[in-house]
This record gives sequence, C-alpha cells and structure tokens, in this order.
Amino acid sequence: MEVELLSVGEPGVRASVDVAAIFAAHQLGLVRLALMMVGDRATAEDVVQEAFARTHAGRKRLRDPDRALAYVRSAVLNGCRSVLRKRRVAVRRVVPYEPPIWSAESAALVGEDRREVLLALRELPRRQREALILRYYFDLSDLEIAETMGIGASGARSTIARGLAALGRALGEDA
Amino acid sequence: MRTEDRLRDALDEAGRTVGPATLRTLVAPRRRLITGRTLAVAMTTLLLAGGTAAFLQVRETNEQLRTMTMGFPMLVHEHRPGDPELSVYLCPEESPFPVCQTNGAATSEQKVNIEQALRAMPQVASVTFKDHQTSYDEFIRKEANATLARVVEPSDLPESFWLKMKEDVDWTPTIQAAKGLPGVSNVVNQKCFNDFGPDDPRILRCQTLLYLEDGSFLVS
Repeated sequence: MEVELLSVGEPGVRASVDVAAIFAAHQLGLVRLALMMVGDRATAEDVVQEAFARTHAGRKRLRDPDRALAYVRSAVLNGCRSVLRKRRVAVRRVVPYEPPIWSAESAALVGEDRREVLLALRELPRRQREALILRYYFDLSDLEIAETMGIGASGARSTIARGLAALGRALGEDA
Repeated sequence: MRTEDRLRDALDEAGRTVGPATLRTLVAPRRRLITGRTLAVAMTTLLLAGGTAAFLQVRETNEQLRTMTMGFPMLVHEHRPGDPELSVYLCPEESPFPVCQTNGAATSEQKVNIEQALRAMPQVASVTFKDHQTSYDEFIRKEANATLARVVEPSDLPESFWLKMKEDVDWTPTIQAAKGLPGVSNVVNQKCFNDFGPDDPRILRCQTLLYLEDGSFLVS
C-alpha cells in the first residue's frame, strides 16, 4: 500500500511527479512513520506538515517518480530527527504535551507487550530505529531503506541486523 | 514470539492509533505574504543550547506560523568574551511589543537619540549598530530551518545597537534606561544565556514569552 507509486502519464514515459501529490496520497503512512519516531500524534502531524511545506515551497518536481516516495519519507525522517534533537536541548515545549504512545500515561496502546517493544525500540540508536520501522512496518527493501535514510544498501542491511539483535537483547530474548 | 513478529505487532498497533479520518489537512505554503491579513508574530529571541538569541519578526499566517514555531530554529549565538553583552532592539513596523505598537517603527531621529543616550551612559564602553542586512546575514548563516530561512527577509530582522559594557559595573541601570528610550522595543542581556545551561530553570530569567494569536508562544 505504501510503496505504491502514483502512476503519472503514459507507462514508460518519464514524467515528473508533483511532490505535493505524493504527500497527499501518503499522508497517513508518513504521519505514522513520524509517530513511531517522535511518539505523539500532534508532533507527528506537525513534522509531516512542515516537511510538506518545505518541499512544497520549492515547488519541487522530481524527475524520477520512482524515487519520489523515498524523497518525501526522507524529508519526514529529517523532520523527526530535528524534533528529537531539539527535545534534547529544548527549554520549553511549543506544542501541547501529549504523552508518547509508548508511555504508561498513553491510552493509545492496549497491550503491555507492545509498549515494552516500543520502549525498547526507542532506546535504540536513531539509525537502527529508523531502519527497523521502515523494514517492519513499511516492509521496504534494503535498497528502499538505504535510499530513504541516505545510506548504502549494505549499511541498511547491517543496521537492521544490528538493530534487531539489540532489540532482542533488550527484550530479553535469545539470539 | 520472535523479535521480528513482536516488533511488527507493536508497530502495527502504534500505526493504527492514527486513522485516516482525523488527519489534519496539509496546508500548502503561500509564497511570501506580506499582503492580506498580516499577523503580528514576534520579535523573538530564539534561544537554545546555551547560546543566545536574535530578534526576528515574521509575518505569516497562523497556519504557517504554527508550522514554523514547531520547527523553531536553533539559533546559537555564542557569546564569547569580548563580544557585546547587551543588545538594544529598535521597534520595527508591526512589532508585537506593546511599547512599539503605539508609535510604530523607530524614526531616524529616535535612532540618533538612542545612540547618543547609549553612548552617554557611564557603564557603556562601546556601541555598535547592526542594520537589517547584517542581522539577516547572521540569521541566515545560523538558521538551520529552511522553511523559516526562506520566508524571512532582511526587513524582518530589526535593527539594533550592541553594547559592550565596562568591567565590574552594574548593568541594570543601563538595561532599564535603554528600555525606556523611545523607539526601543526590548533589551536583551546576551550574556545571560551563557550563564545558565539550557536545562537550568534560571534561564527563564533571560527571556520573556510572547503569546501568539493561535495560542502558541515564542520565547523571546
């Protein structure tokens, strides 16, 4: 569902893609991606909106439709990174506080196991977290993950492997 | 259950907490909009990471503003020994500072008077003037937020006088007197931000909060 690209123009014809259209078509997935990274929905929606505004302001049209979705996902991940970075140093919250989905105060998740997994995921290094979300929620290939994260395919593969191993350890599972 | 499966389940459930029906509509940015209803946004001091601040006035719509406040920039204006310690900001047009709203932008006569008054103060060692363009150049150099950088224009950044203070003098009289000069919007103690780390609650002494129409606020 997520990887499906908009078909633009005749098949086989290289057409440019409107970034805004990609955002609109994939908003839900993008918000979910941001949610998994930043933890709360309001911030997640803000991140997507900001990424949208930023790319849209340049009226950017991508020449390569196959890369459009990776491009907007990268933009959203970048937004998440900067939110997380700012949280570390932020003096005040600008957005109203909403408990992150993995916290005990949040009513969003039902199962304790889910929460435990998300908490462990949150403790992983940022790259591992991104790679695991792209793989295990969005089912992206190594190549797609690499492109989204701006790293090499082998890097993506090993990041996923390391992340999964670390997650297993954190959850007290056998390797 | 294997780690992969547990992870899939957890992500799946997390994803389901956001449904398509209630998604906020994405808002396309308009090009630089001065026309129409302009929203007094802020003379803001942006402060982060123990650094300090710059003043900024942006006129944008609520929606964009919200976006921008959220992605607010990390402006680290590092104060080094020997740098001017106090900055005296002049009223621009459409300033949210109440003191500027009655009289509008600082006039050239006011600027002359301000400079003379500052130079005459016994605690002040030197006074330098920073115009729109210089402030803008500094802002752009430090601005990591592309959206904000794109909509800001030189005229959005107010002019200012920067004061180097003599050693071992009390700055309070200077700050108070400068704040009272006609055409001055605010005075910021640049060094204050360096004195407290970003997690130190005392840093709030260095800033005032400006509430915007949409309920968000900027730190200034």
